[in-house]
Amino acid sequence: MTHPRLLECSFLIPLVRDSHLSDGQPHDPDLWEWLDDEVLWRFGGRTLDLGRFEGFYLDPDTGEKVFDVSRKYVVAVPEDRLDELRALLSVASFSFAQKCIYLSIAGQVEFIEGPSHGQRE
Amino acid sequence: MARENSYTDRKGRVYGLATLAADELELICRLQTYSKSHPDWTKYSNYWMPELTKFGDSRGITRRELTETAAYRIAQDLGSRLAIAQGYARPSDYRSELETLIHTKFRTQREFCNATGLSEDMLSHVLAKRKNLSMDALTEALAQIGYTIHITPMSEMN
Repeated sequence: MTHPRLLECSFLIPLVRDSHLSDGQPHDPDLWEWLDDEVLWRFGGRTLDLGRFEGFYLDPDTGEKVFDVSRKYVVAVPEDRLDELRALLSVASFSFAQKCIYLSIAGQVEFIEGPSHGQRE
Repeated sequence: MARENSYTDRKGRVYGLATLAADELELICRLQTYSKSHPDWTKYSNYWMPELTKFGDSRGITRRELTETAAYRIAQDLGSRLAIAQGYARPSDYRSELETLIHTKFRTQREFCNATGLSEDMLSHVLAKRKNLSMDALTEALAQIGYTIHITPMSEMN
C-alpha cells in the first residue's frame, strides 16, 4: 500500500479582523478553537511558528497599504487532500473576516479567498 | 477554573474531574500548572496539542473523539484564557458567540437566518451593535437550531 506524499503547508491567520470587511478587532477565542479542531480532525495536528509575522499588502479594493500581524500554522497535508485544506481556509477567510488567506504549499504561494465576502453584511 | 473536583470553563460549562481516569486527570493538572506559568499563548498552543494527541493515541480514540474529552476541552479553554489575557483575543460576548456560530456552522448569514427565523436585516444590525435582540427572540431563534442561552457566574469565567 502506498501512502500519498505529505506536503508542508503553512498559512497565516491575521490576529485581527480586516478593518474594511469588519471592525479590525481581535477574534473571538472560539474561532481559534474551531480552527484547531478542524486541523486536528482533518490533518492530525499542527505546529505554530513561534515567530511574530508582521507584513503588509496593498488592499485591492482601497489601494491602501494594510499592515497586519499573523499567526503562522504549519500542517503536513497529503498531496491528494490539498483541496480540503484550501476549502477549510476559504471558510476560515470568511470566519476570521479576511479578504484572503496566505497559503504556502511546499514553497508555492496561493491566496485563498472566502466563499462570499458580499454576504458578510 | 479548577475548583475541588470540577473545572468551569469560560463559558460556564462544568467538567467533573472526580470520575476521570488517573492519566486524564494528571494531564489536566500538568496543563493547568504550565498555563499558570503564563507562557506565551502560541508556546502554550504548541505544548497542549501534542500532549493531547499523545493522550488520544494511548487510548486508541479517533481525533474527533479526542476533541470530546474533558482534557481536550480544558486544554483549549486554558489556551483561550491565555489568549484573552495576553490581548490576542477578545472576551466573548453574545454577539461574538453568535457570529462564531454563524461562521463555523453555516455557510452564509442567510442560511443561518433561514434556519433560525431571524431576518437578515435584524441580524446585520445586531452584529454591528446597532440593535439588540430581546432574550425571548434570541432564545426562540437559537432553539430552532438546537442551541440555548444560560447564565454563568462571572467569577467562574475569569
